[in-house]
Amino acid sequence: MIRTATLRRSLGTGLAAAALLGGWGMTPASAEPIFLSKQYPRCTACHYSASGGGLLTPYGRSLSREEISTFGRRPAAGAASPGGTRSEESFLYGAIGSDSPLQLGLDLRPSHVSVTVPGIAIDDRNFLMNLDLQAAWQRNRWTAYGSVGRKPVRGGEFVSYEHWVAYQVSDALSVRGGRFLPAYGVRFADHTSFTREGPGLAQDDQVYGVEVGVSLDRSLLQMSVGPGRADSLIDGKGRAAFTVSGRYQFDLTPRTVVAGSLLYRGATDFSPRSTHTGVSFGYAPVRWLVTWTHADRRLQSLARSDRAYIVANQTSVEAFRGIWLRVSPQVRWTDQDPWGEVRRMVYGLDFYPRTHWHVSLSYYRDHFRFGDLHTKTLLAQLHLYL
Amino acid sequence: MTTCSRVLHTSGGLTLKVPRRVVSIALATTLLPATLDLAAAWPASAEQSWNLTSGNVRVRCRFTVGGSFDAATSAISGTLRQTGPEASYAGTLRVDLVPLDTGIELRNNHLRETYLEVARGERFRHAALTGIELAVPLPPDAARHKTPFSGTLSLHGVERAIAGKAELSRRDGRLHVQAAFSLSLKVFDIPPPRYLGVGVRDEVGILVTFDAVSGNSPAGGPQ
Repeated sequence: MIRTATLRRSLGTGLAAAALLGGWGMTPASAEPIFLSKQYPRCTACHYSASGGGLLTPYGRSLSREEISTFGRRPAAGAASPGGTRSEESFLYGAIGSDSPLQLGLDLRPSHVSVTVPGIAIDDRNFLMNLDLQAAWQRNRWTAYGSVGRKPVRGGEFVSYEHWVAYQVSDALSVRGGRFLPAYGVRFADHTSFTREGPGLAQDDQVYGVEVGVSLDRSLLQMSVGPGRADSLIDGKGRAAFTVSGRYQFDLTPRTVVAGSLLYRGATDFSPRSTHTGVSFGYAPVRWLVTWTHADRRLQSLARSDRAYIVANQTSVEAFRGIWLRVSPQVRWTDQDPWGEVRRMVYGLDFYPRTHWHVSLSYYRDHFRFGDLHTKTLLAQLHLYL
Repeated sequence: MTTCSRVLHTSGGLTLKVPRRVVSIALATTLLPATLDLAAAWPASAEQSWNLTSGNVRVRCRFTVGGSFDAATSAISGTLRQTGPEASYAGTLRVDLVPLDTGIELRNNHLRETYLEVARGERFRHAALTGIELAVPLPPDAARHKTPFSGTLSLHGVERAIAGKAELSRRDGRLHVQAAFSLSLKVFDIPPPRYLGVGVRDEVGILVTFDAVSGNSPAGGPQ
């Protein structure tokens, strides 16, 4: 009995260490679902990408200064002049005006991570999580978007997480093709969230495909289809799976949103086909509080069990202008598979002292039920978005 | 005989001949009490007045990029006088536009200074709804009543007729009103809101909710 418990603990420890060390090498996205509290239920007000994240539009940059930063806001008279083009929130503090069809952004994230796993000595790491140049060119109904940078793992090789072209057919209908992250559930900024890792939608899980978006006053429908995960298609090792995604969002009010999502991946040489379905609910009763909840179910023909579940909540409170406190309980489990159950609690602090300066502290406490193992992770980041 | 009787058709196709005298008596006994009730409710010399005690106005603005936001204020006041059974109301509902809150300061500043131009004077600082007429009068004994309505809205220095739907309910001696209508910003000479590529569509929806007490009642609010 003791040997069984020890074995379970050792296996659990190895599993936890692998999961934690693998995860922190990736790059977080920069979507801000907290903006639901400011009555922005759609990503496209602030981001070029319809599924959020990446380069901010000039409008998003302006909000970053006027509504997020603690000390960046201009006096009321200055804020009321939409004609102002060269200012702090623009690329490199005004190198390109906000009225230019070409917009650039530079994303840097020097980070420090400290992982504590009982029984394993893991060195703290200091690394550059992001170094990406992002660009968008917009003319009439066309938008071309791309990013270039270095991967934080595997020797820092070149990577372009996203590159796509979009066409706005009408006020409501848009089409885009290229490499992008399919719309699914809630795009929490934390890419290690169970709801992003679980369905395979972390930072380098973009797909090649075509997406159609229908955006109405109170609803948003996004559907995509493509040959599969971009990196898997490039390496040609048989891991790419035909992928179809769909997400339908309905705005109950400007501060209350419900969304249903579907993600289907065909079989590959390494995994059976899978179907994720998810329901998301976002609610911001007041301007300083927002809570998002996502419940997810995966169906996949696996030996142990064909059903896995994820439930995650993230509640954020703006304690003071530019200072957000965040708590995120998460759980994932698989039917009849004790290995699969992990409970996580995340406590976070996000401080935006000045436009595009973002200090982020996150403390993760994971409980791997198999082996009753507790791990702790501290992630500190300085996010510079120039 | 024919001239002294009326022909009544029943729903089952049965035809009855009833003496005219009987019809007259029946009509008189049926309608007289109702007429007396109405006369008591609307005496020629009295007006029914309602004083607003609380309320709010919610303006639903639709983004050009999809989604929407609300601008809201509780700075609504006024008194309405029902001048007769025909459901027309004298008086004004007045909304102070300065406290309109969209949830973020940048939007608030743009709304007040660039689009509503509240600093230009009284006719810009306040919106006023006058000449309110209900299409169907509120029945004296109805607890809840839905009806189309019309009125004249003064906004941004421009007066235009508006029309919408209202729901009135009586609750604890108070009148609770919820009225919804939409308007075109262009019609009120408000420039198309647009900032750094993100705009607001021309048609905005207005939801007005308020409680009022009878100006004649003992528990009446401010007169």
